[in-house]
Amino acid sequence: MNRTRTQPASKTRHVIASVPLLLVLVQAGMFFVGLEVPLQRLIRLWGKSYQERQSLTWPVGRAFLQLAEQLPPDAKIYIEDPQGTYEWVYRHAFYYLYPRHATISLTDHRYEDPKEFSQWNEYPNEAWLVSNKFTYVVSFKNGIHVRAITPSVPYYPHATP
Amino acid sequence: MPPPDNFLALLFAVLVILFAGAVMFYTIVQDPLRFTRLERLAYCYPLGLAALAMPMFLMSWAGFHIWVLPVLTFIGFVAVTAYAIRRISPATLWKRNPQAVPMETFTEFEWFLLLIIVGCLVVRTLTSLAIPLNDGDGHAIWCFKAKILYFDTIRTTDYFTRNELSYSHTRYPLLVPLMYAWVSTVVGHWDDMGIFILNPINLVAFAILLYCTLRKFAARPVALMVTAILSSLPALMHYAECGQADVPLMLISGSALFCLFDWIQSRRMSSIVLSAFLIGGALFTKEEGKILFGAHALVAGLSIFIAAPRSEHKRLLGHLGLYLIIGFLWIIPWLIFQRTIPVGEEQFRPVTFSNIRWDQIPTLCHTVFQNAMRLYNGFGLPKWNFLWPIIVLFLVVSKAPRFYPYNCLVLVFILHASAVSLVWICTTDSLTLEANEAGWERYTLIMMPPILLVFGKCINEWWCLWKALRIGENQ
Repeated sequence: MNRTRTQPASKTRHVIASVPLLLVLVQAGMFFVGLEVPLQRLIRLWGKSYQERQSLTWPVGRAFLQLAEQLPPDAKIYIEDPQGTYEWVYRHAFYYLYPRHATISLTDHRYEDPKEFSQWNEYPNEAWLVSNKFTYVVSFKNGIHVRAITPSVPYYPHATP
Repeated sequence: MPPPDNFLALLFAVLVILFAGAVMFYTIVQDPLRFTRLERLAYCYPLGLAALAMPMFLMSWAGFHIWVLPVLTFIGFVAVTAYAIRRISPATLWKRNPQAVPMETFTEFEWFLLLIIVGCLVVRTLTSLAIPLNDGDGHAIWCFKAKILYFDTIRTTDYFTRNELSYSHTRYPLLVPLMYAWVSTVVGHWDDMGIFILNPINLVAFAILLYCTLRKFAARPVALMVTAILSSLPALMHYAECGQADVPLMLISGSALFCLFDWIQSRRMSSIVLSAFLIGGALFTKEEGKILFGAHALVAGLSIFIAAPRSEHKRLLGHLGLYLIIGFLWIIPWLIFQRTIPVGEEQFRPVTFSNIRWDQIPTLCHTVFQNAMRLYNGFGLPKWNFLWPIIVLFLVVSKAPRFYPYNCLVLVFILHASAVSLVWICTTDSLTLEANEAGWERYTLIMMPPILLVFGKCINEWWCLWKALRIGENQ
C-alpha cells in the first residue's frame, strides 16, 4: 500500500531533479560551438609557413614585420603622416619596429584618440632629424614609404600593406 | 607550429617554470600527499610563474638582461636552501599516496566528458601554436612590453618614461611580459610565435586544478561535467590563444582561491601560505589582482569570525596576517617601481564618491545582463552558450550557496564583480556592451573560478538527489 503511494511522488521528484541536470548536459553538449571556430582556423592554417599564416590571420602585422625586417636593428625612425592609422601605429608599428627607436612626435606627445590623431601635424625638418640622430623617415601617406636620412637616398620606396 | 629546432628550447623554458614551481611547492607544503600527483604537477605551473617573475623583474631593474644561467642558479639556490631546512627527500613530492583509494573505472558517460575535455584542450593547444599574434592589446601592451624586456632592461630602457608610449599602459604589471621574455631568452631570439607555448598551458593547468578541487567535494561525473563546460567555453576560444594576461590571471588567482578555499575548510597553514604566494603572483599579473587580493583577504577574515571557534581566532588571525604579509612582500618591489612611472592619462580614474556616475548604473546593469545572455558577441563569435542563466538557476534552487563554506565563494564573486563595476562606473568611458565587449568578456573570465566551484557543488547536490531517487525507484 505504502509502496503504491510513494512511487508516483518519487517519480515526480525524479523528473524535477532531472531538469537542472539536463540543462547542465545541454551546456556541456554544446562543446562543438566553442570548437567550431578554432577547428576551422586550424584547418585553414595547417601546414602553412609562419609568413603565410600571418598573412592570412593578421595581414597588417605581416606588412609591418616586412617593413621592420628591411631596416637595421639600430635604426632610429621618424613616422610621418600617420593620420587615419591610429590603430596601425599604436598597435603595430611600435611593436614590430622595436628594438628600433620609433616616434611620431617631435615633443613626445601621446595622441589620445583617433580624432586627435587625425590632426597630426608634426613634420620635422632635415636639420632636426640629423641633430637628433634619426636615420629613417617612414611615411604612411598612400602606403608605406621609407626614406633614409643618411645617406639621403630612398631606401624602401614603395610598399603597400 | 613551432619548428622542431625551437621545440626543445621551448620545452626547456616550460620545464624550468615547472621546476621553479616544484621547488616552491616543496618549500611550502609539508604534506604533499594530500594532493593528487596530477594536482601537484598542475600547481607547479602557476607557482613557477609567480616564483620566477619577481626575481626576473629585480634582475632587469638592476640593469641585467634576463639570462638563463642566473635564473637556474637562483632556483638551484632556493632548492638547496629548502632541502637544507626541510631534510626530506624531494622525491616525496611525486610519491603516490599509499592510502589513496584506487580509481574506479570510467563509465561511458565519463569517457564522453573526458573526450570533450581532452578534445577541446588539444584543439586550443594546436590553435595557440599555429596562429600568430593576432590581437590588438596583445600587440600594444603585453607582447610589446615583453619585447622591451627581452631586448633591454628596466633600468636602461626609456619605455617607462616616454609619454608617447603611455598608450601601452606603462604602469601595468609585468608577470606575463617577463614570462614571454623568458621563453624568448631560452630560444635565443625574439620569437613571437614560440612565446605562445605558455598560452595553452595556462588553460590546461587551470582545467586540471579546477577538476582536482571539484573532486574534493563533488562526484567524478560532476567534476568532469564542470571541467568539460570550462574547456569548451566559447569565450575562452580567443583569449586562451592571444597574447593577453586574462587567462594567466584566471589561472593564478583561481589557484590562489582553490588554496584559500582549502584553508577555509581545513585551516591548514600550508594552504594559506600557498594562496598568499599565488595571490602575490596575481598582483603582478594585472591591476585587477589588487581587487582579487582585497576580496580574498576580506573573505578569509570573515570566515574566521563566521565559522571558527573563538579559541581559534588568535591562531587564524595569525594565518591571515601571514597571508597579507607574504602577498604584500612579494609585490612590494613592483609597487615601489610603479610609483616612479609617470601617470599618463589613464582611462581609469580614482574610485571616489564624486567620480561615481550614478546615472550610468542602469546602463551598467543592462550591459552585465547583455554580456551574460547574448549567444554571440559583436564579432560574431559565440560567448557563453547558456552558462550564466543555468548558473543563476542553480544558485537559486540549490542549498549550498547559502551555507558555509560555499557562501564564502559566492561572496568572493560578488566582491570582485562589484569592485570591477565600481571601477568602470568611475571612468568617463561608455558603459554600453558595444563600447567594450571584449573587455567585459575578459573580466567575466577572470571572475569564473569561485562561481565554477559553487556551480559544481550545486550540480553535485542535484546529482546526489537524482541518484538517490533512481536507486529508490529501482528498489
